[in-house]
This record gives sequence, structure tokens and C-alpha cells, in this order.
Amino acid sequence: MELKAILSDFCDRSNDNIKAKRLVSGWDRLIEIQVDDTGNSFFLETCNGVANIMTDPKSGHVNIIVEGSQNVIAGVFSGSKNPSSEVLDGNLALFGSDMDQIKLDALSLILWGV
Amino acid sequence: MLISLLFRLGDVGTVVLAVTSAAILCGLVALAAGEMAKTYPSGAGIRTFSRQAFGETVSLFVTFTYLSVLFLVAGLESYLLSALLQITFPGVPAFLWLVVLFVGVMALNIRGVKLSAPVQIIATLILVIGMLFFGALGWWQPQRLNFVDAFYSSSVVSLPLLASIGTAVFLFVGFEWIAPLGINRAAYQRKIPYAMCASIVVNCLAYLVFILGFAVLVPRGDVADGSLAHLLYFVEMVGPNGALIALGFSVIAIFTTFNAGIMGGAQILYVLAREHRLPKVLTGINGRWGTPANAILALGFVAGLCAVIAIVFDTAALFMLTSSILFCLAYICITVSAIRLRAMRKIPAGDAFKLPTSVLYGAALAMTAIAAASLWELLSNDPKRGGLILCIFFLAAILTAIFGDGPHPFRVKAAAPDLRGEQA
Repeated sequence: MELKAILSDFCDRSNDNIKAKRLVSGWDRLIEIQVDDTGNSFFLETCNGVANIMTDPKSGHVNIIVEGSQNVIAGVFSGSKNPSSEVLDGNLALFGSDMDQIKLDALSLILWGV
Repeated sequence: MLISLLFRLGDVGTVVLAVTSAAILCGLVALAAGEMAKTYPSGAGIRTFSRQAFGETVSLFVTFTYLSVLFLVAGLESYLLSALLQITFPGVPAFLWLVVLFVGVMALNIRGVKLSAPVQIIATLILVIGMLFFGALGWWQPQRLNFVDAFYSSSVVSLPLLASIGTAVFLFVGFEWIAPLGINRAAYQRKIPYAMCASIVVNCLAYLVFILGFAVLVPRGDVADGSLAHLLYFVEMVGPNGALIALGFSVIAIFTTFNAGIMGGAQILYVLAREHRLPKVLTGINGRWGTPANAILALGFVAGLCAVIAIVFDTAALFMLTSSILFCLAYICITVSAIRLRAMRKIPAGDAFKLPTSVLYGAALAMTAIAAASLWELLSNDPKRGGLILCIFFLAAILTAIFGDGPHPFRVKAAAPDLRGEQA
């Protein structure tokens, strides 16, 4: 599955999940997902409780940077990899405030239980 | 309280040497941590470093030990503040202040209320500049002691310098929490290592000026016998209203370091639970504010228990000495992890802040010596005081055995992901 499709699926699931919608409500953030091995970047935006993926940000300051290989990013956003374990192994890096990092991880936990 | 303990261990010359030596050693550990943080920027500090260097079992044991110390420190800080509040407002018992403090801080943390960066910076500046100002002011007080007498007073028997350094390490604890705070990978080239070292240098300078102020204003025996040394100092300087200045310092410190400690400790609990290394209940998130509410409550409960124990059994000094020793052990682990990761070539070569490996070995050996001396000092008056460290190690070992690798009934199986469309 293409990475962009995985990220879009992640957003769709988040928007369809009541707990996830509640979590991102009032949490307007721009998240940059940097894929190390391809050099691509994707941008995930949460605004008014809705998550969207876009290839180019319209504007705004990036609040969180998620950095990893395509395999790891795909795994984390599809629920096949535990983000905490990947961070521990040095395969995934998150840059941002600690609360934002926890919220992003919590989103993954709500959607995937992993 | 730490200043009181230091003055019990030696005269002001010994204290100055101990604080300076501890700062230098912590600076070396900070550079080792900064080097590893470049490769593992957003990992959970000592948890990640030790895991990469020594594997899961050692890392879990070290992390559980470190977590126990955070509980002790949180309990200790809250105990000291409640004691100061009780002295300042005698009509209110310390237990009540304790309850108010913990309920308030936990509520703020669960609500996700954080001091903004500018407020934190201003609060820190107030503390540092305040210590420098009031420390220097002590030298202009008409009632100051003779400097030579202060420096060479021996109303309390001096103890080995190494034990003093081990105790003084506690003054600089927390620099390693800067490691995961980089806003991007570029920050780890210079900013993060600079920040860790700068925090140690600034703290060292502030403490030294403050300690020298103590030396000329308050008799050493009075400092050594008390537990709220800064209260004595300000009362000596300005009279009874000095208690309010002392209280102001403590309140600012609480809402920066104590709050950060609660949140930092809760995050460690949350991350361990996410890795299935602690019960899943600790991953509980407040649905509205997205904070690790269950971890915050757990940490607050255990830290509160530690504070109550400190009040009831007068164990604050024991907690502080034990924490100092265990932080020394944690810093030994960080230094040795850096040595091992270099040998395993997991840390890239060529770094502006890279210390020679021989220096890292030296730092690790020095930390080991001061940890051993501190432990000797702890046990020399009463061997039973070593019981707390043994309990912490035992607890960490039990938790490692329960939640480490290998089959056991408490391990939570990860939910099978729904990879809709994966096969298409």
C-alpha cells in the first residue's frame, strides 16, 4: 500500500472514530512526516477536530516532525508497528512538545491498540 | 536541605570543592548523553541509551531504578515545600499543604496546563539571578561572620570529600532531561549539548555564590543542623520576613522543577506501559485533553506516599542521600552506555563534542568512586539506612522479572492491526 494512501487511511479512521475525534478536537496542529530513505515529506493537519493529509502545506508552522524510513512510517501509521518501540530502537524520531508527542501516540493507541 | 547535608559533611571549603567537582563530572556525563542523543534524539533518555548498549533486561532494571528515584525526589520536594509552608503559616498542618500541593499539581497536569516557554524562562531567571543576588548580598550584611573563621570552622567533623561530591551531584540532577527536547535533528548538533552543559555551569555558579553567602552569614553548625537552610539564610538577612522570600523561591522552584518532574515521570510510566513493560492501565489517556492521566495519578499517589513517609518517619535526609547515590549510578550507566555504543559503532564518529574515550572511562570511574564513598557515608552511621537502596533494587529486579522479555501472565498481547486494503 502506498504511503500516502496509508496516511490518508489513518486520517479517515481518525475522523470516523469518536474517541479519536474527541482527542484531536481543539488540537490544531501541523505534523510533518519526513521519510528518510525517499526524501519525501507529507503533512498531516488537524483542524477543528478533523485530520487531513496533504503533500504541500498551505501555510503555518510545523508543530511536530515525525522522521523515519518508509517502512517504519508505514508500519506506525498502519498499526503494524508500535511507535514507542520504534522510537526506543532509534528507528523513529519525534520532534515537538512532549504533550503533542503523547497525543499523537495516543491517537495511534486509540486507532490500533498497538 | 541539600546545603544542610553538605555543611554536615564538611566545611565551606570542602563544600565549594564538592560542588565544583560534581559540576565537572556532570558536565562530562552531559556530553556523553548529548552524543548519544544525536543518534537517539527522541528516545526516553537513559531507557534508550542503556537498551541499545546493554539490552532489554539491563535497561529495564536501570529504568525501574531511575523511576523509583523520581518518586523519591518528587516526594522529597513536596515534603520540603509543605514543611516550609507550615513554618510560614503555622496554623495549617503540613499534611494539608501536601494534599493541596499534590491535588493541585496533578489536576494541572491532567488538564494539560503547562507553563509556557517564556514563563519558564522567566521563572528560571528569577531563581538564578535571585540566588546570585542574595548570595552576594550576604557579604554586605553588617552581621556577617569573619570569613577566615567561616572557612575553617570545624564545629562539625569533616567527612571524606568523595561523599560530599556524591551528595552535591543531586544539585545538578535533571540536566539529562534536556536530551529529548530538541525541536529538530539539527538541534542535536550543538544546541542540546550546549544547553545541558550551560545549565550545569549556570547552576554551579549560582550555588557557589549562594553557598559562600551562607558561609559568612549563618554559623556552619546552624546550617548543618537545619533542613531548610535557605530559610535560615533569609531570616538572618532580613528578619522574620525572610521566610516569605524563602517561600517565594520554593514556590517558583516547585512550579518549574517539581511540575516538570511529575510530568516527566508520568511520561516514563506511559512509555513503559506502551511498550508493554508496565500494566496497560498506565496508558490511560484523558480523552479530552490527551494527557496520560492514569500515569500522572499513579506517579502522584506514589510520590505522595513518599512524602508522607518522609513526614511521619523523618526520612527526608535518607531519601536525599539515597537519591544522590542512585543518580550517581544512573550517570555511570549513561557514561558506560556511551563507551559501549562507541565500541559497537552505533554512534557515528566525528563530533565536535565527542570526548576521548579515556575521559569517559575516567568519568565513569570517578562517579563509581563517589557513589561508593556516598554509600559508605550512608551506611557508616547506621547500616540499616542501606535498606532503602536494597528495597529499590529489589523492586526494580521484581518488575524487570515480571515485565521483561519472556513469557509471563502479565504481558499484554498487542492487538492485531486491521490492515484494510493492505492486500490490494
